[in-house]
Amino acid sequence: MSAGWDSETKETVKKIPLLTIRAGPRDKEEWGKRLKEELQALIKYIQLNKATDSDWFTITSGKDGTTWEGKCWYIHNLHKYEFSFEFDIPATYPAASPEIKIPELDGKTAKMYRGGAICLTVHFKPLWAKNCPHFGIAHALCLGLAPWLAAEIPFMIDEGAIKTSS
Amino acid sequence: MADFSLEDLQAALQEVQKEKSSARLSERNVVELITKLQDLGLLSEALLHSVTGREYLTEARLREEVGDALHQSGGRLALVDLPTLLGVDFVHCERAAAQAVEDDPDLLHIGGELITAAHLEGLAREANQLLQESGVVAIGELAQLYKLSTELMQGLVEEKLGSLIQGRLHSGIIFTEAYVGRVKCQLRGALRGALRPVQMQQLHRTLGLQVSAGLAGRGAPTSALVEELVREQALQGSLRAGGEVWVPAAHLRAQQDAVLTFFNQNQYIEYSMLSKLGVVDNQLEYIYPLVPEGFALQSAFVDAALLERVEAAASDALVDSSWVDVHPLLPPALNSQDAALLLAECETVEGLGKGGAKRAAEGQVLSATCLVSAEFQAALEEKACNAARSLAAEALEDRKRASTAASTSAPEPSSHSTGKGATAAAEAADDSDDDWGPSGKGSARKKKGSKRKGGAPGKTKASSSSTAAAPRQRGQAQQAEHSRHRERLMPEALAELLVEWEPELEGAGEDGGLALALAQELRRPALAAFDQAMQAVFTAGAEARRRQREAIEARLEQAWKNMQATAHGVQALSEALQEPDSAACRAVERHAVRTRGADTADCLLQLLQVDMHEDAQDAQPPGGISAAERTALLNKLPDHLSKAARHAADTANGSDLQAAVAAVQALSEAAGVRLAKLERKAEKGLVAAHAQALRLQLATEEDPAAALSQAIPVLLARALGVLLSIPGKAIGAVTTLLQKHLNETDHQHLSRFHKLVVEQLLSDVKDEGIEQELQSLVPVLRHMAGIDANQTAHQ
Repeated sequence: MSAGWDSETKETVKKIPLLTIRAGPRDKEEWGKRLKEELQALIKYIQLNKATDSDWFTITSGKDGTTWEGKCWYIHNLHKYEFSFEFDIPATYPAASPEIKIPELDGKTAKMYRGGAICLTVHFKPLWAKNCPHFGIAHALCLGLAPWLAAEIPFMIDEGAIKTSS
Repeated sequence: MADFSLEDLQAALQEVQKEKSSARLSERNVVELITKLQDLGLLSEALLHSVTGREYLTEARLREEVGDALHQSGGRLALVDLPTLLGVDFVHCERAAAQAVEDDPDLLHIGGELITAAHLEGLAREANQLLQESGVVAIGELAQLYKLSTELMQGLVEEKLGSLIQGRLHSGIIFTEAYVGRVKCQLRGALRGALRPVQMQQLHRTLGLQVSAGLAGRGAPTSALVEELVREQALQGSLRAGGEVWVPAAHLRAQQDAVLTFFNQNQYIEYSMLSKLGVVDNQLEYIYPLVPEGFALQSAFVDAALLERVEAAASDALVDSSWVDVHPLLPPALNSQDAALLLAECETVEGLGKGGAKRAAEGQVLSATCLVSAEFQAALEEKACNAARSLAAEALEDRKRASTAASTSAPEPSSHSTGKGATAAAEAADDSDDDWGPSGKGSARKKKGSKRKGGAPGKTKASSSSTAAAPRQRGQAQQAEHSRHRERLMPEALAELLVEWEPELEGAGEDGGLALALAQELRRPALAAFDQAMQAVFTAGAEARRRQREAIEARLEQAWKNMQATAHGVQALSEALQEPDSAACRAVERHAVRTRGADTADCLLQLLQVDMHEDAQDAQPPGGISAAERTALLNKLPDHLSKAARHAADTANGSDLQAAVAAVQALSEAAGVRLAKLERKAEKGLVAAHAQALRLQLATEEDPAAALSQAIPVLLARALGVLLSIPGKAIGAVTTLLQKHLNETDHQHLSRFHKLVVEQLLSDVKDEGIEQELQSLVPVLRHMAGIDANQTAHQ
């Protein structure tokens, strides 16, 4: 957690509870526990965001907690830009991080893999691996999606690739 | 939370997401929002900022707050206090306050303060309370107390006077009726007791009315009260000097009595006395109504009786041909200028000025306070003129003395300085037998002349500087002498004389100046008399000089004739002797030069002297001049004459007769004196007359040597027809010459006589034989000279 993120993000990440259970979707029993921890971390993270008036996404999961979807938004020059995102929990989770996708932006930016998966920074994966199994979905959103939006959306707005939703 | 089921947690997640996000707006955002709202015109009213800039408030809110603040501060609030109280900028507070005052008629905005009517009423009540306690209160004090402007306080008091404030207002002071009554009583008591003028300020202090006095200096209520008391006839007197001084009627009466008493006793009153009696200003206006017939003088006001006294004295003086100083007749308090004014007021004196020449001739005012009658003055003038004349005589005496002293004393030092040279010349005595002259007097003079020969050159050189300065010094001395005598006619000296004649004049007049003033008057006639007397003497001197000049001219003419005749004689003698250079001939010539030549030169010099120095006449004896005098005279001569004169004098001292004649002629030409040439006929007459004169002397001459010296020229005149006096050295030669013109016996007798005379003169012891023989030969000599026993036959 040395470089690659701004100090506010770093502060926020520290406040998100760390997870303890190393279990993926394949581990029936353990995964349930893991999922509970994930949900608690997310609730905490959202509460933090609401408290600091920096709420920037909504998220729901499937019943088993392997597929997640939601909306994220970014405000630039007093205009709100909202996008839908989705991701699945990989089988090797939590050793592998989830791949977050924003399908509607597919093809609009170079910082994206085929299928709309966002291209995370080089720092993310080593950090994730180092903190396995303590990092969860909330951390992935905080350290992955949020910085990506902050870096790419203004660029795309400038290029006229996207339009405001409001 | 570990107990929660998965569903619960998912539901909780959804719940969390539904919660409203707490809006975290920054100040900047809010300001921007408000600005946006204002831009959009969504706010109906203008918004104001608080001083801190952290609050917005509307104007209505501000007005409300101003009202609250005013209420809280008790009805009076300074506008400057509002910004600190409300935390709003002063401009907005002021505007809100103005709006509030406009809306509320009971609210006043006075001098930067908001004051409610209720508050003012409270002030008025308080002031009234204060007034009733102390009896008198100054509005200024109230204003100071309540920190209001005096004008506002005055307005407030005037408004509430009679309603809320019970009292009287007079020039900025409020009184209660009781206080006024009390002061009035105090004033009545104090002023009734006053016998001299009272300074109201002083009175205020004495009565302890400082409060009112301090402010009531100008038109004090006390003045009004005093005037009221005077009107009520409770006081007698008046306020003077703009209400500053109370003058009681009793004082005025006493003052007038004192002035009149003094005046009636003394017939005058000095202004200083009036001042002492308290009449300081407008003294004349005060005294004239009291004594209408008086006169105002410089230092005093006097009665008409004094004028009459002066008038009487003045007319007496004129009638008695005398004089009068009026100052001593007047009271000693009056100064001399007063006396002068009073004298000028006299009809007698006024008449002198206006009455024309006739009245003016009666007398005049001198030294301001003295009247001098014309007769008196004329008498003094006569005396002064006499004194001046005698002074002139004295001056002339002095001058004569001085000039005599100057002419004799001037060469004095030079004769001392050249004494050695003079004695040396005397010792030389190469012409010692000049003593053969016809008389002792003449030989003595010649001795002087011979001395001069040695002394003259050194003398002129040595004394030239001192003698050259002499005329100028003498002129200055005379001038000084003259002015010294005139000084004795200066006013001061004349005044002393006047006092001597009329001792009463001493000290009379202004500053004792009558004598001096009279002297000024008399000086002009006295000086005129002095100058006139001097002029008369001077004219007389000129007459004497003219006579003297004539006499000298006659002598000069005679001497010149003699000189020319002698020159001819010398020439004839030298021809007859046929030895022009013989010792005898030289001796004769030399002798001739020193007698005739010197006479002529001296006469000429004397003439020049007379021409040059008009007052030198008495210094010169008519007979001749001494060597010293001659030197002095030469030094005095002007330059153009000096050279010729010196030459003439030198040649007259030499032995060349022709040179002497030429020198005399040159000098006469230079001096412009015409010398007539001797004609043959005149020469014959001259020779005859001279011979006759010698014969007359010879007829009575007993001394053989003198007889010989007289007989020889006579014989020579008869033989050669020339006029010569023969010195002893030449007698032998002439005797030889006469041999041709005398018979044998006569010539033998002459030779014998000559021989005997020489023997007698040479022998120290008296030889009886020679003397007897000479005596016996004298008649023979007379006979030879053509003198018989019966002299009448020759005449």
